Amino acid sequence: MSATSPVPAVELRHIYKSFAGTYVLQDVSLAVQPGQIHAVVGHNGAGKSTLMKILQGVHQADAGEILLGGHVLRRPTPSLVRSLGVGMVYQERSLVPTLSGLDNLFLNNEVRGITRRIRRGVEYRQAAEICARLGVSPALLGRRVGEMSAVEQEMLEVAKALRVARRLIILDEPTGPLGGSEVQDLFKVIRATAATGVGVVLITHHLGEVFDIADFVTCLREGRVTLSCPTQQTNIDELITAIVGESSALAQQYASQARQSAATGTGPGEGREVALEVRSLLVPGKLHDVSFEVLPGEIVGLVGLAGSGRSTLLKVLYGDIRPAAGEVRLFGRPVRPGHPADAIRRGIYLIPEDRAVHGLVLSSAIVENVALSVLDRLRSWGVLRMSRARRRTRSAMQQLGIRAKGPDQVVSELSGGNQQKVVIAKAVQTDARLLLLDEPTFGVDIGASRDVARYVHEFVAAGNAALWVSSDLHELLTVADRILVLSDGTIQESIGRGTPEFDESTILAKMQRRSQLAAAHAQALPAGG
Amino acid sequence: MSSGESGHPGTLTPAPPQAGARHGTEEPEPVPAAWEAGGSSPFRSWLRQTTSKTLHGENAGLLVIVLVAFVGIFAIVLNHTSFFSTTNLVSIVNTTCADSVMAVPLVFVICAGEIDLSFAYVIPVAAYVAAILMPTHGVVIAVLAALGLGFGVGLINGIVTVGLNIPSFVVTLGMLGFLSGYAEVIANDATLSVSNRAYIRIFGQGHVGPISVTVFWTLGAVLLGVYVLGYTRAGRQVLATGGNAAAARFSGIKTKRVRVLVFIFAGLGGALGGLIYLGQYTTATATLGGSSDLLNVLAAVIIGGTALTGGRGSVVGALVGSLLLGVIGNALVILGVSSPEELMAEGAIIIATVVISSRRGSRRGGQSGVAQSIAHFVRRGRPQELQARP
Repeated sequence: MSATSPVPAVELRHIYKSFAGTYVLQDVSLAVQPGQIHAVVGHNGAGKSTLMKILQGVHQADAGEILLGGHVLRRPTPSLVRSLGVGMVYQERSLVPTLSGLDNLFLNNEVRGITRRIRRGVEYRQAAEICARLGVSPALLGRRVGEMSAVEQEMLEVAKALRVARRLIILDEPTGPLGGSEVQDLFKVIRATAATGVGVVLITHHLGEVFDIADFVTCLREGRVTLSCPTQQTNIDELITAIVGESSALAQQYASQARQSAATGTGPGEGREVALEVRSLLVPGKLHDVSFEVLPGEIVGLVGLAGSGRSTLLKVLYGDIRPAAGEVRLFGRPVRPGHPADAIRRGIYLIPEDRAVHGLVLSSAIVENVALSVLDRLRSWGVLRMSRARRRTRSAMQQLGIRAKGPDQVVSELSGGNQQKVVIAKAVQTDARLLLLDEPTFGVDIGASRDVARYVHEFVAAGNAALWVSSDLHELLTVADRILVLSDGTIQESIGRGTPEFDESTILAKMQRRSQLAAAHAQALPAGG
Repeated sequence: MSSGESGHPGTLTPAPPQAGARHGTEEPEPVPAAWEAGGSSPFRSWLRQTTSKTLHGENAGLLVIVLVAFVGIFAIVLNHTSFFSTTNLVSIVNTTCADSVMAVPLVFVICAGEIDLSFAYVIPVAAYVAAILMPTHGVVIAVLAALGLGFGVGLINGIVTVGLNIPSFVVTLGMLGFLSGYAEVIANDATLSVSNRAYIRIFGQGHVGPISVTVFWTLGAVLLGVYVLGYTRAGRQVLATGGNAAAARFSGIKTKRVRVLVFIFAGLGGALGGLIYLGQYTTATATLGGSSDLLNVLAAVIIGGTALTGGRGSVVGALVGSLLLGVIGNALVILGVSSPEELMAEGAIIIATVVISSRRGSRRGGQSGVAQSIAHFVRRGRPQELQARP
């Protein structure tokens, strides 16, 4: 729905930017029309965030022009750009959890009366108007942000940016923490925003989204624009090629690999011992009667809406939560880990959802992180041998393709994808037989995502098993041999690859809570794709 | 309603159409009266909102009930004593005045995500400074000097904490030690009296009609605190700094400045507490203030619902907490409990309070506080109501 107005809301012309002698952006040009939803895709490190920072005035370009509404911006600063109507929703949340939605919306920008008193009545009116524009209930304004769900917080972030954004709103990975139907809700809001004439820049790793909602797509690779056209004129293969620069055949490869192993039985086989058997798991309030099996050589996907208990299930298997009832068997032997240490010892390893919090010590080096779970094995005469750790780390870095200066580089300096690979390297050390993955490709660029998928395939091919939790149904459909649908606290169904139900819209429908199915009957099912 | 819930269509669809929609108009939903500064029957809607908040433990309402309950219980149990006499109840207000006044800036400090352990030791130093200067330089200079001292202590606390990036716990702990020693140095083993009648009347023992001047100090500090914290941009900035410093910074708040300022307020609070004590006892001693005030004030703030994690707090709650501790302490004294035993009892109460407060704290977005815990306990049998919160 791009306007045919000749004056773009925002235009970047021939931007060049270098840091310390290396060019990060070369001859990048981008135009966003008013009311256009413009997706920007590319590797981490391809220059997307630098480009956005230049647009916001955080960095100054070496050469090139920035135009807002046709007028050249001479020396953009963040406050100037904000005052000219450019708003941004950051990847990291910018909300204060202890304050209400209304207070957050007007944070540091409150409407004040003569006595410096905040005029909440006036604020509410303004905010309610924005909420109406977005199709969001104004009840959100009175509640504390800390009590809101991820999607509600996301809506509030959009509303907050919208207050400033008369011309352009930039959304950086907004769908990261959201599940299937929540993404659609956010898209409704984005479309409503664009409909009011505001340009939308959507930075995303989820290529399916690009074709779902964007009118225009620009792709960056290593600082250059490799593709820039209306989304109707391209397809996902072309997009992948533009991002990674290789033939898209590679993208199909994993899908066919999985199909192959399913067909010939070299993967998940019949009559083999079951790798993971879960019976009647009960966690009060979250899971009741969860039962399923994972065979060796299988990657089993697990989907469910936020709150369905996916992370809880993984935490039970990992020993972080004790189930009230139920049985878990790993390769036939019962396991009841009371602590992750028990789980690791039995050969179960969890790649956690929030790697910054649960997966890595960000202030430490790669080698220290990789060694974390196997410190015992690196000791000799009671002393920790870092040389052993370094050797293992180096080979892991090579095996997984971790791009860093060396094993001593501090993990916080790595990109999201490389950080995730460090977490996997940590897992590799422990001779795990069951890998639990919780949103492993969240915040990870496509190249690293494929490396992760490739590694997990190799892992299970060696006779191990993997349980992969993800909100990205598209990704699971590529990677998994079977998908378990978790909702209402139990496994509703197990859908195998090759069966007719193994597609996005069917599975999305099955993920809905039964209590809401009645409402869903009245509406159309969310479109897949 | 847990924060992990998603896909509740009700939250995201536009609010159900009200009266206007029956006529097919697109009237925006009227601003709920609670948000209005004025408007029709604001009192009634305020009453409704406050009652609802009280029942959910959102404000200090339940604490007030607890306070009244305690007073009632003691009145009955200590029927034969002078507990429930006007004189005694007034004396409770008087003795808790300084702590209540000092609790207000502490609420701000903790809301900002910091802590100050040194304010209680500003008391003796400020008292001595005022006492020393008063005979020669008059009341005004003496008071200003004492406040200036508080300001300076707070400034140092703030600059060291924020500028050198050292945890406030450590910095104010060091300042505590410094001040406590310094108080003895200044005192030089002597106590110092003040006899300036104007001073004594303003800061300690005066009356406006039947009402003691301490009531005015307490109410004034509390009202000012409530206003600034809840109704001004500065208050939002403090809460944001403590609730999510990164988000505050993204919104353009100068968090470093905010943090330094709250320390300055705490220092000023300590100095004011010293001036009040000086007015009440008319004598500056090296043992003024100190650990018991530290304990009482911090306990009052926590009981009152200010989370130690920052970002949320209640000035009214701190006042009620302070009064509660005063009532309990008073009753214990009347019962003949010795001073050390009273201290033990207070310590136990503080631990119990923190435990009760934190049991709910870890679950949802940082909800904590005695009031919330009581509400939760009472409502345990009716979980649906918790879910149905608008």
